[in-house]
Amino acid sequence: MAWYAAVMLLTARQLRVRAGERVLLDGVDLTLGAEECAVVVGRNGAGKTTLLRALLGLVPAEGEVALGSIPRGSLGPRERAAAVGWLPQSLNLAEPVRAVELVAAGRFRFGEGRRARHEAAVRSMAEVGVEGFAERLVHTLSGGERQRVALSALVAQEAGLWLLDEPASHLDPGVQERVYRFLVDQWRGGRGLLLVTHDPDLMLRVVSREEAAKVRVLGLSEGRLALEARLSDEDLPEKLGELLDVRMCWAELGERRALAVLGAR
Amino acid sequence: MRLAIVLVTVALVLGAPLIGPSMPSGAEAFIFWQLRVPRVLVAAAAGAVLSVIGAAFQALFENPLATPSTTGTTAGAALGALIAILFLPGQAAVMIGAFVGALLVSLPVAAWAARAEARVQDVLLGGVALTLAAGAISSGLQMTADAEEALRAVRWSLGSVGQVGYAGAAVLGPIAVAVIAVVLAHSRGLQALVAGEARAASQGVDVAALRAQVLVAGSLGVGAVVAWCGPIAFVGLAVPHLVRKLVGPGREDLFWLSAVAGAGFLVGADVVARVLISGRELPVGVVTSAIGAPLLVGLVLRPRR
Repeated sequence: MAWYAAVMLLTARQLRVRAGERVLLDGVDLTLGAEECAVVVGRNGAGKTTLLRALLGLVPAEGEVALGSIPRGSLGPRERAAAVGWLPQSLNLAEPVRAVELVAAGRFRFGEGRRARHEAAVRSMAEVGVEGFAERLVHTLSGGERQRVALSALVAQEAGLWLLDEPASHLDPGVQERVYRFLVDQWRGGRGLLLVTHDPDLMLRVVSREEAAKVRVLGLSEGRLALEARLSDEDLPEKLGELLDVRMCWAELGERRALAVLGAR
Repeated sequence: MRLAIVLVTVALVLGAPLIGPSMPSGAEAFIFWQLRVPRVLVAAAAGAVLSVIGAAFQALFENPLATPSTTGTTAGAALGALIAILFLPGQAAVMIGAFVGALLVSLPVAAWAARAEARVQDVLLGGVALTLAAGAISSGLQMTADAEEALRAVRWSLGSVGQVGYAGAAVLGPIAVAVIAVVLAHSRGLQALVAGEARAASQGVDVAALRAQVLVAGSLGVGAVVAWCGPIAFVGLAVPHLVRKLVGPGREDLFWLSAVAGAGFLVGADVVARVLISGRELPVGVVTSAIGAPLLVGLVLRPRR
């Protein structure tokens, strides 16, 4: 294993983010063990995206973030990129670019020549199943193809822990499931996941019962951690429903049970 | 196509000293070695610097219209030079004035941009505001100057690579090499910026250091070029876009190719400026604007694919 295996544990203490008068994140304590998988849920504006950005140091935040036992701030940018990778909600490109070049940018932290970088980029694309788009311009791809190209850049970065911000929103149901299956395979392979989603049932669809008992559910409400549960908890629908302000229940769907939304409260 | 750009530039640089009005006998060696060769060297260095900085600034500001002209650098240099022309004696004072003016405007912008919480739009907006302010002051100064001084200022503001000579080449050359080296050293970081600063930062790019170093190098380079040659318009904007048109989208080869193509572009424009009207010389800034302005309009009006 690479050196970052030792620092994959992510801890945040009293993480607080302000935007003028508003408090976006209000003292969040969070520990994510190595090789853990956690989904972050909450209503719009609850602070999910801000939490990821604060953990990455992309917004000014009070409190401490540590990777392993090392404070985030005392690691260099490349070391941080070795420990934690990020998939933002959307991909905004400043200008047209070929998919392989975008994926190769994920290799920034490695000191390697262009040929090696491109080969690694194409390998990463093959892992996600999009190597056929290597020479295509990213903005000409469909939403699902584009998201999987963005995911390839994350693969290319080879970070120990992935922070993913709604990785499957705006995608059709089949692609959503493919993306989640890929992510869970990565988790099974030893990668840590912290995944923001509005649809925890998607995760339930692609994991076994035993795995569901390991998946943590973290609920954010008004910038605070308001729920800590497991994806297999019997009372998860009630708790989640309270957090999201909807009525929820377990629904038996043949071979599996699903988290179902009955309607607004 | 990459090779073609290199070859055309080499041909232009080697061929340019041979082109021009027929030389009076006895003066050939002097005109060739003392006037044309240094002039071509200066044009090549200035064109390379302006183009590579244009490409870098466009990447840095995530904006296809960003150039040293939109970040206040050129306007600061022009104001400094104007003050020198109006109030100080001698050509050296003009160069020093332009250089100091460029740095006085650029370094605060660069210092602000290097702060982690600075947003790229704010930096660009600040540069535009400084450009307008410097332009207003320049206009005011020109209005109060006497006719001869004002004419000198206008001549200078059109840009020329002719009066610099080996002394200028000896200063511009090393600055050009240093500036190009800084930009090329950051080439991979500038490539990563294509998907935004936040993502680049998460991939390991030290965005604040990248911004500060490229901006300081850009200010130095543009300050030097403006000081010695005047504000040569449109090269930094036009050449990177021309390179994209020729080799296709992407940034992997953009920066070094912009430097090469920029050298060829300005050497070529200077040849046109020398021979277009026989017996008279056009300011090279007029030629680059005549090519650059329609190109810019074409880019803006280009239908979106």
